[in-house]
Amino acid sequence: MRLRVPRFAAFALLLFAVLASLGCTKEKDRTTGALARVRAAGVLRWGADVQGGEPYVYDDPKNPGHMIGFEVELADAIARELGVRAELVQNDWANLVPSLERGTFDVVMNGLEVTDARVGRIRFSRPYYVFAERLMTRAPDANMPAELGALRGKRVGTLANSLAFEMLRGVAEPVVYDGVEEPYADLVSGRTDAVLLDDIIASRYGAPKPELRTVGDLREGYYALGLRPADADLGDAVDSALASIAKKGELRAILERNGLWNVRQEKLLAWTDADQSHMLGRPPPPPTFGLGHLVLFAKGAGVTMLVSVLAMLLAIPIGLGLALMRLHGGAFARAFAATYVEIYRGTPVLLQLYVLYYGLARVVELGALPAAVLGLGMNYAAYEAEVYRAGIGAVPKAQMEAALALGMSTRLALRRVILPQAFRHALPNVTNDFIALLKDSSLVSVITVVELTKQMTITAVDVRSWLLPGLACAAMYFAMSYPLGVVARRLEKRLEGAREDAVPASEALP
Amino acid sequence: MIAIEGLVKRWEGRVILDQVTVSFELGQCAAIVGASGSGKSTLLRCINGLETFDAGKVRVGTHELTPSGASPETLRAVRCDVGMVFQQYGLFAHMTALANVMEAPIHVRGLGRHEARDRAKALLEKVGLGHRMQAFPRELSGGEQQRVAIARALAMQPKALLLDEPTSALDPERKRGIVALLRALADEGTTLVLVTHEPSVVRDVAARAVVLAEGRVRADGPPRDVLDAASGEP
Repeated sequence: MRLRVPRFAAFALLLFAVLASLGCTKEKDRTTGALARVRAAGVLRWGADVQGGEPYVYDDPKNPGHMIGFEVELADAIARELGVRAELVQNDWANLVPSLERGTFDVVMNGLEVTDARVGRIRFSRPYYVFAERLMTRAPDANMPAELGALRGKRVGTLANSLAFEMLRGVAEPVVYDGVEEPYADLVSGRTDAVLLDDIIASRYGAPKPELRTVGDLREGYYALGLRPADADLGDAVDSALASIAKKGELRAILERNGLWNVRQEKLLAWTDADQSHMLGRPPPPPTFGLGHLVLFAKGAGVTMLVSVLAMLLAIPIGLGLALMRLHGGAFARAFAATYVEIYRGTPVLLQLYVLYYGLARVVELGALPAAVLGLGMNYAAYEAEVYRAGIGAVPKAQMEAALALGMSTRLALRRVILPQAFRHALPNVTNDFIALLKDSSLVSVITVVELTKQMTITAVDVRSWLLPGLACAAMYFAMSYPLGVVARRLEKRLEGAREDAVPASEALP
Repeated sequence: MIAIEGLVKRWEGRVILDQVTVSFELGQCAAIVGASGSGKSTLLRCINGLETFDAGKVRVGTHELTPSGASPETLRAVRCDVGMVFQQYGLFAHMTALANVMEAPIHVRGLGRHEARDRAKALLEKVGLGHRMQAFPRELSGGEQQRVAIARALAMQPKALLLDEPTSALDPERKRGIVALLRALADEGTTLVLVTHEPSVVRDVAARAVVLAEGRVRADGPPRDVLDAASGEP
């Protein structure tokens, strides 16, 4: 016991050092000459996520592997103005800003909305698109007023860390998604009451659904390029490039070609410095990471624990049933159990969650939390089945024969003799699986469950730093899994001891 | 009590038992002897239905086992009538010696806990383990484990006890202890059928020896005559 505390402390210190060094690598040698650097390389590297789809940046269906979209055309035009060529760097949308800060690319251009949180963190260019926050709902509810107050207490779908998410927080109950199709699919199936998203997304993914209606637009917002604040000269150059593109009529041409031109865009053509400073506003100082966030984290950790415990409680009996089917069932039961295990182990759990929640939405309509528990539980049942199968196999066969010879039925022999011992053999592995499940549970954020990891990414954007939220989040996972690991190791040790005693050497068979 | 008629058992194209006909009487202690591979253990396992067979029949009291198998009720009745003790003991590793002996009377016979406990204690005293009742199998020597296994089988009050190589996993000293216990049981009139390849065990315990070779009964009679006749075969 005396050894364990320093080891824990040393590990925590190491973790901190690693994370801190990750946090400190940004901003080196980029204070001057960003524009010179881009010109010397001959390439303007811009970050975007192809998953955002049409009309932003997407794979040309007629020419796979070739990216098209209005932002691709715009990037080419800006690069041309700078005298270089544009190069797209694929990056997960949620991490575009951290990747920009790390220096993965020079600019971000991917429907990045100008929000208070981002203005305090990165330098925005002139806007290249004026969007509207469009509220959609199911047809029977379409007469609701087009104002934020009407959403009080309602479940409203949107994208995490979007302007709409900022607007909804504290008013409605935001349900956050990673993709643009899923919010509308869930609205159709009744899992949410409304969806608030950019008009570009709404008109492409929401409006075509006959069950949905547009209520109205709640406010305007801007898409602009994001740059590192230190790259001042590159920022100025991008602004002049955009001004020149607008003046030449090229911006209008690009937006028209992509079906995006409307009356709101006219102000882009006569954009002034005054407009720019009005757009950026005076952002309130960022909240510091504090007690309030920790309370949210504790809530997230509670969800993580709840999902993990319930999923495990489901996985254990299903896994046991599968193991018994495989060992003692008829031909059909055996084949069924084997197929179940192979399919669930052979496909990603993320995919299984998608299929269960979105794919089967028309057949069985599950809430997000039940779907998360069911999805993880059914996946882990496959692993538990193998663990129990091994545990049952570890009980010497002679005990089963002895039980049968005493007149017990197979069922009674399993219940009284085999399974109690099999559980003992399986316990360390079950504990290990539970620790793995605790961390895999972060995957359920793809079906809108806000657990610890998702809460961390949301908070990281709020406080404009990943360091403290990341450390706090890691510490919470660690606090949940470390005691379990200790228990697992102790069980393993005790079991090893018991096994060594089992056959005294003097009695071993020749 | 136990009557076997024309028993045939094949396994992977080999004939293990070939038209075996033999019967065992109540109150008699008989030994089945023969070289390893002669089919003697298989014969024993056919008697209580742990092994199926291809032709012939096995009658235990009024119950009959046939090649087409038996209903769970018949199997249970047969197994309650003939207890079995294995070479590897097969004690339940998660239970104490006492619990091992109490288990089947409670859960198969439906005996009350107190009655089962009294019976188990008496039997463990009888096999010389009165001081080791709370020990787990891993804490017991091989000889002690075999004694628990015998007490466990006797607790079901079977009409006959089958023992498969009960001494072959033991060192000479512990072997002598088990032989003495078996002789004491035989002297009390317990019906025993034991399989062994050790002539000394047969001489010390059995009143009758059945010699098996290549799946057939070669000789059947008092151990002195039969073992002399069969000498030359190990």
